[in-house]
Amino acid sequence: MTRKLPADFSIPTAHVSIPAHVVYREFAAETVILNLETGRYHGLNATGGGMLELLDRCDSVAEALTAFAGRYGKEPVEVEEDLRAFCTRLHERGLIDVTLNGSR
Amino acid sequence: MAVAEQAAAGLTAAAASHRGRAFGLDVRSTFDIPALSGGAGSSARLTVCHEQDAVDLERDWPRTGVEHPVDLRFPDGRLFMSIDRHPERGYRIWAPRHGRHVVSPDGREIRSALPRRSALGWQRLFFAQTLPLAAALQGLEVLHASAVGIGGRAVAFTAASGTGKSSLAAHLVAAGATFLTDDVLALEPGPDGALAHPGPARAGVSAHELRSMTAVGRDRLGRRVGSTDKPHFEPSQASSALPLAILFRLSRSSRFARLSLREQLPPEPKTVLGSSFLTYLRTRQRLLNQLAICERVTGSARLYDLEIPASVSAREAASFVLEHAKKVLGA
Repeated sequence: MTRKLPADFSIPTAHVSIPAHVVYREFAAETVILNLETGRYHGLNATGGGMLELLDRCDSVAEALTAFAGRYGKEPVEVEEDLRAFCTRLHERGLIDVTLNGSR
Repeated sequence: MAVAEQAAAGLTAAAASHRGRAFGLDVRSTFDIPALSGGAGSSARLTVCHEQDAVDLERDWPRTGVEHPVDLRFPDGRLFMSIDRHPERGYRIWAPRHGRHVVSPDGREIRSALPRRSALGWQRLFFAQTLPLAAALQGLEVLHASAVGIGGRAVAFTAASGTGKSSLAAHLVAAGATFLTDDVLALEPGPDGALAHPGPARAGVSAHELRSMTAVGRDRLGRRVGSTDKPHFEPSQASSALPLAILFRLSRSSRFARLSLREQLPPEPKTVLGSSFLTYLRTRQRLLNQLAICERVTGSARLYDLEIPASVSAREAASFVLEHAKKVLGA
């Protein structure tokens, strides 16, 4: 089943959670995400790993966006599209759940 | 331990007389299993093996609700090996003329129908598939790797089949390293990383590789126990698990101009995850074990990519590896 997220979903209303069947570990070389339902591993580079860690830790995607932009000395608007695309790809693969306006 | 003790209690004292260790398991058996180490059994992982008639074993195996994760065949369509899975009954491993085994879902019991014609034949299937499966079901992580001990620490080699990891290990043993395992490496978390358990004392070495060894080197491989497609030996091996210190990922190609070694800085998780053995086993617990061992290995061992030109012999590669490993380990 393909899980679609609107490509232009609204970041201020979005929340991300890690599904119970997904675990991830940060290694020095990369972040490895394991989907326990499919048995598949997914690799993220340092930037992607940092995005995932912030999405998992922050209360909202908007908060994660601000923190992520700050790490790289950017304005949130400059990295918003990158974070949105990242969320969309991981959501489609079942690696994160994105909730919009309180409905998944 | 309670369940394992109960399983063991089901055997008569005489029937449980065969004991040994391999892949981190204490093995008790109603039949003789050569090549298991006789080291003191202190592991909490006990696997009890019963011999059973093939007809009875087949009769007991369910007809419905069975999955078929492995079905390997020769080019002419004949079955090479199949592995079936049933959620309550476990796994049935079958290779024509090499025996059939049913491994319980928790890996604590193996029922085996052994062919009469060739002891070496059933041992190969048992050591290559059955016992590693029991180890994985009991929480050990198994890699497709050979390994030796150098200076009291484990040095392992992972590669695609046919690359030469067994030949490399054999030449290292011939050069004085301690034999650990030929083809399957069982790992568990240790105090400072990952512990590498000895496999069975069996090493298959091609006649070509044997000819390139000195007489002293051949002696170090131990007693010759028979031949299949290649001679098999029974080397003396490490008596207990060793901390894994180095993992080499081998590749061999005519494209490589010279032996080349590159340390993975930082270590790449895929080197460990991609070496996983028994890939059909994807239970939640197994997957979590894989990830945990991957963390341990990449956090404590040094990982290298070793490129071996097709023109370089296993003996030359072993000499190169031994020199480097001794330097790294201060051995």
